[in-house]
Amino acid sequence: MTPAPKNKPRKKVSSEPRVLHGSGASPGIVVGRVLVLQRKTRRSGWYNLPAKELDAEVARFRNATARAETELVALRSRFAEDLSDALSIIDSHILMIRDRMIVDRTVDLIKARKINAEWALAESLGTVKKKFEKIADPYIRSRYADVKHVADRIFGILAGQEGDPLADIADKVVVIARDFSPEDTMRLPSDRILGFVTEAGGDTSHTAIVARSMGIPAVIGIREITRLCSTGDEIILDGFNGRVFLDPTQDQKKQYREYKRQHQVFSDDIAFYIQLSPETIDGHRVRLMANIETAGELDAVMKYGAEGVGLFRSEFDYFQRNVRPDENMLFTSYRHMLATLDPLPVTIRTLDVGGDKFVDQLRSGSLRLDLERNPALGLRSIRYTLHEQVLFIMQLRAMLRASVHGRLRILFPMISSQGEFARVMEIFNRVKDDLAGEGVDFDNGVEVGIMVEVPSAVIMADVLAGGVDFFSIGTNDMIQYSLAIDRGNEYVAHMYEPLHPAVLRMIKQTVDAGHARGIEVGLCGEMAGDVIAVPVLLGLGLDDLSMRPSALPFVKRLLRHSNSRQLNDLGGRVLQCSDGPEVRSFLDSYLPRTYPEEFGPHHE
Amino acid sequence: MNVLEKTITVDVYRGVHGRVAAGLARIARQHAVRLCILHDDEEIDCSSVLDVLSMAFVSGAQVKFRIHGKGAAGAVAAVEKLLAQRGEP
Repeated sequence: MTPAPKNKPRKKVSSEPRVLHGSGASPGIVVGRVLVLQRKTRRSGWYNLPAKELDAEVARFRNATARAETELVALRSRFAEDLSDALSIIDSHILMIRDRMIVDRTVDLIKARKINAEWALAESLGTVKKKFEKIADPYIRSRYADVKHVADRIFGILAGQEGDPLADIADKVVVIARDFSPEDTMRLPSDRILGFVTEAGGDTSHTAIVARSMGIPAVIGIREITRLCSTGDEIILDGFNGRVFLDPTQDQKKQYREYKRQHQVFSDDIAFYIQLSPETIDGHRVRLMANIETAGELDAVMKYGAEGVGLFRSEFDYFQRNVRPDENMLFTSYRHMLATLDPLPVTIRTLDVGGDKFVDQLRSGSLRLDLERNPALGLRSIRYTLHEQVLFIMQLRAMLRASVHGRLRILFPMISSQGEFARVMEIFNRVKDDLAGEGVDFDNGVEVGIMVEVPSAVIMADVLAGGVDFFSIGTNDMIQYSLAIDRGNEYVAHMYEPLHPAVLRMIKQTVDAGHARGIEVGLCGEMAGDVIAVPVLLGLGLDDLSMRPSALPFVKRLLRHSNSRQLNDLGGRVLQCSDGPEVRSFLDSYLPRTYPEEFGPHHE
Repeated sequence: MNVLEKTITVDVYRGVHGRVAAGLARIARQHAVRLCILHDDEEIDCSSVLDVLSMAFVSGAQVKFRIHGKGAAGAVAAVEKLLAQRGEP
C-alpha cells in the first residue's frame, strides 16, 4: 500500500474517502453535491485585505471594468449608426472605463493601501471629482456626471459579483466557503441550499446561529475545505457530529441516509412532547420559550409548543430590507407578533448591533465603527443605541405603541452598570411621557428586563435586580467576556466552553441574586438549546429557558424525565468541578445513567 | 520617429467636452500615434479622456499638441478637423 498523499495546497489528489472534523454548527445530515465559493463572500462597504488577496481583488476589479465595457459595447450595437451623438457619448463612456485615471489609479490604490476595489474606486473617483470641481467652464465641469455614471456601472457590477454565484444554481447544493457574514447567510436562497461548510468560525458565530434558525445543517471550522473539494463533488455533511466526508463510499452514503431516516423517526417521536406541560416529574415548572429573529418564525414558535418568545432579536428588521425601517414599520411588525402570541409573552430585545453584527446599514455618517480596534469591547449593543438615540427612541416608541396588543417584555442588552441602566430608563421614561402627552395608548406596566452578559453585571446582579422585572442571561457573550475567547476566532474557538465552571457559577450567582429580589431569571443563549447543557441549567434553578424553536420538544422531554431534587443535586455537583473537561466527563457518565432514553447507546 | 508640434484653436461651441475628448483618443488610435497636449509644461497623453476633460479647453482656447509617431501628419489634420467643428450653435 502506498502512503496516503500529504495534504498539499492543491486540489484533491485522490478520491480516497476522507473524514474532516470541524464543529457541528447546525444539526442535520446531508448527502449531496457541493458548490465551492472560492472568494470569501463579503459584507458590502469598505475594508482592508490581506496581502495575499490583493491580486485576486485587482482581478475582480479588472473583470468588473471589462464587463462594464462589454455591456456598453453591446448597448452601442443596438443604436443605428446615424445616431452619432448617442454613439459618441457611449464611446466616451467606454473610454472612461478604460481611463488610466480610473483603472490604473484604482489598481495602484488596491495594491498600495491594501483596500478593496470599491474603496479604491471611490478614492479614484474622489480625485477625478476634485479635478473637475476646479474647472471654470460649467458645461465641462458638469461632465463629471458622466464619470460618475460610468463608475456607478462598475460599482454595480462589483456589488453583483458578491453574492451572484448562488443566483445561478438550479440544483440543491451544499455551499462551501471560507466564511459567510451573517448578512450573506440571510441572503442565501434557503430553498436551494442543503447545508453549509465553512473554514472559519467558532460554534456560536452568528453564521451558525442563522444556519440553525433557518434549519440548514452546517459544519464550520474545517480549515482548507475550499481547497480540498471542488464544485460538483459529492460529500456527506454530518451537522450533529461536525464531520464532513469527502468522496464517500456507497456504504457510507447508505449508512448516512439511514441515520437521516432514524433522526426523522426520532423527531416524530419527540413531537409528542409538544402537547405536554413543561414540568418535572414532581411538578416543578420551567417556562420554555423560543428565540426568534423574524416574525416568519412565529409558526415554528407555535408548532413546537413554546410558551412565548424569550428573545426576539430585533436587528433583523433593520437590515433585511434595503430601507431603514421607520417607527410605523417597526410598530406593525411588533404588533403582529404580540397579537399573534397573545396572551403569551413576547420579549423584544432592543437593537443589539455592533461587534460583528450588521452595523453597516445603520451607521450614521460620522461613525466609523470599522475602525474600532476591538469591536467586541467597543461601541456595540446598548452603548450603540445610547449613542444613536434617534434609533433607540424610535424603537422604544414602536414597542410601547404595540404593547397594548399583547404581552410585551422589553429587554435591554449588554447592561454593564447601574448608571448605564439609569440612562436607559431615563430615555425610556421620557418616551413614555411623550407618548402619554400625545394621547397615544400604551401599557404603562410593561415588563422591563436586562440581559446579564457582561461579568460586571453578574457581580452587581444584586444591585441591578432592584430596578428590573426580570433578568435574562445571555450566555454567548457572557462566555466570550468571562473566558476572554473570541467565538469567531478559529484558533481559540475550541476554548469557548459553555460548561466551564466559571460560567456555571456566574449563572448560579445571577439566579440567586434575582431570586433574592423576587424576580425571574431566564437564559436565552444558544446554551439553552444544547441538550448536554440543559440538565445542568435546569439544576442551576433557572425559571425559563429560551432557545431555537426546533430544540424545544427535546428539552421539554428532558425536563419531564427529571425530578427537581435530582436536578438540584446535579447543579450542586457541577459547581464543584474544577474545569470544563471535568464537568463534561462527569456528564458523560451521569447523563446516560439518568436519561437512558435520551443519552443511551443510540447516541454516539 | 516623427514628432510634430502644432497649436490648434478650439472652435467647438462647447469646448473640449466628452465627445471631443473621445474623438482625440480615437484619432490617436486610428493613426497609431501618441497624441499629447502640452499643458503647464507637461505632456498630457490624450488616451485619457479624463485628463483631457480636466484641462477644460473652452471654445477659442489655443491648444498646443505634440504628436509622436509616423502617422503624426495625418493625425494633425484629423485633430484640426475635429476641433473646427462648430456644431450645436
